[in-house]
Amino acid sequence: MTSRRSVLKGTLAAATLTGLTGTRIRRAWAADEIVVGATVPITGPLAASGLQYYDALQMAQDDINAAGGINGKKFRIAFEDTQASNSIAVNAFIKLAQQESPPFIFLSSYTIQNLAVEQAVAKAGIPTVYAGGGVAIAAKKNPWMFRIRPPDNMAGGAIGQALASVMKARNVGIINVQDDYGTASGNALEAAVKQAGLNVVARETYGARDNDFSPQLLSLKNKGAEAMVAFSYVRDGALLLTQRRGLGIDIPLLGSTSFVVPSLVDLVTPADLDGAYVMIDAMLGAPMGSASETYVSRFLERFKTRADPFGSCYYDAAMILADALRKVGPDREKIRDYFAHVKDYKGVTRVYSTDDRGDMAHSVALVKFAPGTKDISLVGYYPPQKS
Amino acid sequence: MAQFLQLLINGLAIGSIYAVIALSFEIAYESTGVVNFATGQLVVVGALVGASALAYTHAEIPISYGYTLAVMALVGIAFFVSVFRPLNGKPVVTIVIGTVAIGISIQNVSQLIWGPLPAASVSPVGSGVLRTMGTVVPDHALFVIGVTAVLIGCVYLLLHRSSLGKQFRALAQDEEAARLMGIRVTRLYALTWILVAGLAGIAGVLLSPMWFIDVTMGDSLALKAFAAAIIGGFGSIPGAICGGVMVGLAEILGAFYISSTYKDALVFLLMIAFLLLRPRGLFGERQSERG
Amino acid sequence: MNIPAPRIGLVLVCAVLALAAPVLISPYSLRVLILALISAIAVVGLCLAFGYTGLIQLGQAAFVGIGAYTSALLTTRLGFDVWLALPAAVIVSAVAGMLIGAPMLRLRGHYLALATVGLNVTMEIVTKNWTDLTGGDDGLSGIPGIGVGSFDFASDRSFYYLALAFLTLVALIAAAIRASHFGRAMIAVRDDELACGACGVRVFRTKLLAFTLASAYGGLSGVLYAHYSNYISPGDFDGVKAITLLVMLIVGGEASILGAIAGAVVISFAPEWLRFLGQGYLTVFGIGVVIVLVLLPSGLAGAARSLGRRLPTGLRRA
Repeated sequence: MTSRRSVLKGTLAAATLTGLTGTRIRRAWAADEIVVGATVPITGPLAASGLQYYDALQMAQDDINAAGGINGKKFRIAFEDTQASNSIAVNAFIKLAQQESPPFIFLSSYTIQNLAVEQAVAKAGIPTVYAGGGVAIAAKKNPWMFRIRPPDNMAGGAIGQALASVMKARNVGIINVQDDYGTASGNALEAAVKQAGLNVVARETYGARDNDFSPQLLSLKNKGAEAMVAFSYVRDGALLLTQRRGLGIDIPLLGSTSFVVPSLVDLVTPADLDGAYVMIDAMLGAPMGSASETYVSRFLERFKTRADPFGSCYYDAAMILADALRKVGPDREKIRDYFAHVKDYKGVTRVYSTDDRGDMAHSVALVKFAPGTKDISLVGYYPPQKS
Repeated sequence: MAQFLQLLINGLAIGSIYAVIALSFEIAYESTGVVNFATGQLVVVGALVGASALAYTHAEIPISYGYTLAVMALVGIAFFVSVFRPLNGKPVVTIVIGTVAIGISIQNVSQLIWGPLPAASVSPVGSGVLRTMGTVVPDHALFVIGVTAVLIGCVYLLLHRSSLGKQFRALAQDEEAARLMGIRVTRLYALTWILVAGLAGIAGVLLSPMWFIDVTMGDSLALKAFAAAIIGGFGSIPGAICGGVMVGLAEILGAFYISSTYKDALVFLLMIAFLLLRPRGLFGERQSERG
Repeated sequence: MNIPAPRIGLVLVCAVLALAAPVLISPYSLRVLILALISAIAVVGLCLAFGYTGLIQLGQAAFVGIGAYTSALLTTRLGFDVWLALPAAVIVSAVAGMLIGAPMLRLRGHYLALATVGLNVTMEIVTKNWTDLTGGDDGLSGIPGIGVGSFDFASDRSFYYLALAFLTLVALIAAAIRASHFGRAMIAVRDDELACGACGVRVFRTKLLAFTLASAYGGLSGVLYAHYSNYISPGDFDGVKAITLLVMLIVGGEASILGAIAGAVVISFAPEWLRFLGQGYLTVFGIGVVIVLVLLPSGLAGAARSLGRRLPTGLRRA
C-alpha cells in the first residue's frame, strides 16, 4: 500500500468524473431553430418497428422545413435511443428534457416504456405523444400524454362485430402472444365476442420468441373454431400464417395490424394469406385520400420500404405539432391544450379527435387480402366513418 | 390420432434441430473445454448467410449451401483465433463471460449487416405439404428429420470411427498428453471450431425456412440447446440426440396437451429436475472430483 | 485490524469525490451514477458469492427482481411503510436464495452456471404470467419514493446520497465478512474445495451462506431500484441484466469490493461513452469485455494492484 497508489486510484476516480462532466454542457438552441425531442428504439430488438417512425419523423421534419419551418424558424427533432429497456427509455426522455429543454417530445410505441416514463413526463411537464396501446397508460390520466393510435381494447369491439356480420362465425378461437398487448387485446376480445352473442371455444397463447404454433393451431381446430383471431407481431404473425397452411387448417384467420406490415408480408406467400382478414389501425393510401397516397409513394421512394400505419401516425403527430407551434408558439402548456382540443384533423393515417382520456385515434378498419395476391382491400371501418 | 402424428412430426423436426445445436455446444465443450454461450448467435449467422445466399443466387440450393458452409468455416476459424486462443486455459467463468460477450458482438454485427427484420428463406424441398394418414405434414419437416439423421450419423462416424476422431477424443481427454503423442494440437483445435461453427450453421440453415430467423433469436435457441445438453448428458452424441428430441417433443406436445402458456416453463422444469436428480443427464459423464 | 495510512488516504480521496459528485457532474450523469450505485450493491453481493466463494451465479438479476417486486407489492398493495418493506424484501430475497441454493449448490462449474441461467428464465416466466401478483407485462407502477419523516428523497441529488449511504454500509459489511473467519472459509472453498473439505471446513454450508448473502444484497439493490424508478416490469430483471451484473464484477475485479463498485460505474457509463459509435456500440462493448478478460484477468482492481507492485521498492513501505 503506498501513497502513490492512493493518488493513482484517486486520479482514476477523478478521470472518470471528468469523463462524466463532459456531458454536462447543455446544448443551447440556435437562435433560429425550434428543437423537439423523440425517444425511439433505434438499436436493439425493437428497432424493426422503431425504424418506421424514425423514418416517418425524419420525413415530417423535412416536410415541415420545406413548407417554411415554424414561422420562419427551422424545425429539428433530436432523437434519443430507447433500445429495449425501460430504464434506458426513461433515461432517454430525461436526457432530452434536460439537454434540449424541448416544448414537446415524441415517445416510443411500447406500452411498458410509456408506462415507465409516465411519472417523468408528469414531473417535467412536457407534452408528449405516444403510440403504446395499453389501456393502463390512459388510466393514469396524465394530462401531458396523448395517444396517437387506437388503444388495444378498441380492436376487440370492432372484431366482435366483424366476426358476427362479415365472417359469419359463431364459434371463435383466440390466439395471442403472452405480453401486455396480446393479453389485454385477447381479454378485451373475449368480452366483446361474448357481448356480440358468439362463443369463445378456445383461447391459446404463446411466447413472443416461440417458433412452432402447431399445438395451438391444432387445438383451435380441434375445439371447433369457425374463425380464429390472432394478436401477434411480425415474425410470429408470419409463422402463424405459414404454419396454418402447412397444417392444412382452412379456418379463416383474422389478424391484427402487424399482418399488413411490409416486413411480415415479405415473409409469406399469397397462398399463406388466403382466408386472412386483418383489423388494422388504419389503411394508408388511396382509401384515405390523395395526401395519404402521396405519403406512401414518397416514403417508398425515400426509404425503399413501404410505410406502415405505426410509423405514419407519428408523421401525423408531427404535422399537428407543427400547426400547434405555428399557432401558439413553443409554450408547453399551450401545446398541451392544443393537443387536448384536436377535432376532426385529417392526417395521412386517419381522422383524429382527442377525447378526455388523451386518446386521439378512435377508428380501426377491416381489410382482407385479394385471393392469390398480397394486396389488401377495404371491407369496412369500425365505427363506420363519414370520411 | 392424426393430430398426434402432426405434433409428433413437428416435435421431431424441431427436436432434431435442437439436437444439432446441442451437438455443436457439446463438441465445443468436450474438445476444447469451452462452454460456448455464443452458440445461438452462430446458428443465427448461419441462417442469415444462407438466406442471403439464397436470395442472391435466386434459390440455387447447392451453391447457397456450399457458400454458407464455407462462410461458417471461416467464422469458426475466426472464433478459434480471436476467442479460444486468448481465453484458453483461463477459469471457467472467464470463458463463459467471454463467449457471452462475443455473442453480444456477433449479434450486433449481424444486425448491422442484415438489419433487425426477420429473413425469409426457402426450403430445398419447397413449401409443399404431404397429406397422408389423415394428417398434413410440411415437406420441410420431413426433410429436416432426414438430413439431421444423416448429419448426426456422419459426425458419429467421424468422431468414433476415424483416426481424426480418435485424435479429437485424445485431445479432449488431455491436451498435454495429446501434444506429447505428436498430435498437431493447434490444427486440431482449429478443425474443432470449424466443426462447431459448421454444425451451428447447418442448424440455422435448416431452421430458417421454418422460423424466419432474425438477429435476436440466438439466446432463446441457445437456451433450448443447453436444456437438451443437460437432459441428454454432456459428452455423448446419443445424449445430444435424445436431449434435443426430448426438448422438442416436450415443447410441442406439452403445449398441446398441458398448457401453451407454460410450455417453456415445462422445458426448464425438466432441465432443473435433471440437474437436481441426475446432473449427468441420460447418457452423460459422471461429475467426478479429482484431488 | 490495522489499516495502513495510505489506504485511509485513498478512501478519503474517494469519499470526497463521491460526496462532491452531484455538483461536479451533469444532472443526467447523476442519474446514471445513481443507477450505477444501485447496481453496485448487487455486484458487491456477487463478489461475495463468486469473487470469494467461486460460485458461478448467472442469475443475480432474479434476486434483484424478487427484492424489487416484494417491496413494490408491500408498499403499493398492502400500504407498508417503505422502511418496513425494505428489510422485509431483503429478508424475502435472502430466504429465496437459501431455498433455491439448497438444492442448486450441489452442482458445480458449468452445471451450476446453466442452472442459474434457468433461474433467470423461470423468473421471467413467473413475473410475466402470474399477472394477479406481478401485474404481468404491465408491471407495477406508482411505487412510492423513500422518505424519512417529512423529508422525501425525491430529488436525484438527495437520492444519490441515500444510495451512496446504503452502498457504503453494505460495502463495509462485505469487507468485514471478508476479514472474518467466514471470509477465509469462503476463499478456501473457492481455491480448493476438496482440500478444505478434508480440513473440516463446512463446504456446503459456506457456499449456501455466501449464496444467501449475495441474494440478500441483490434484493436490497432491487428495493432501491423500485423506489427510485417508481415503476418495474419483468424486463428490468432479465437475463441481459444478470449478465451485465456479472460483467461489472469481472471488469472491476472479481475478488475486490472496490473493484465491484468500479466495475458497476464503468459498465453503467460505457453506453454513454460509446454513444458516438451509434448502432455498432454493442460490438465494441463485447470485444472490449473480451479484451479486458484477456489482458486484465483480475479486472481494474487487479490492474491497479499490480501497478502498485511494480513501483520501485524505495517508494514502497515494507
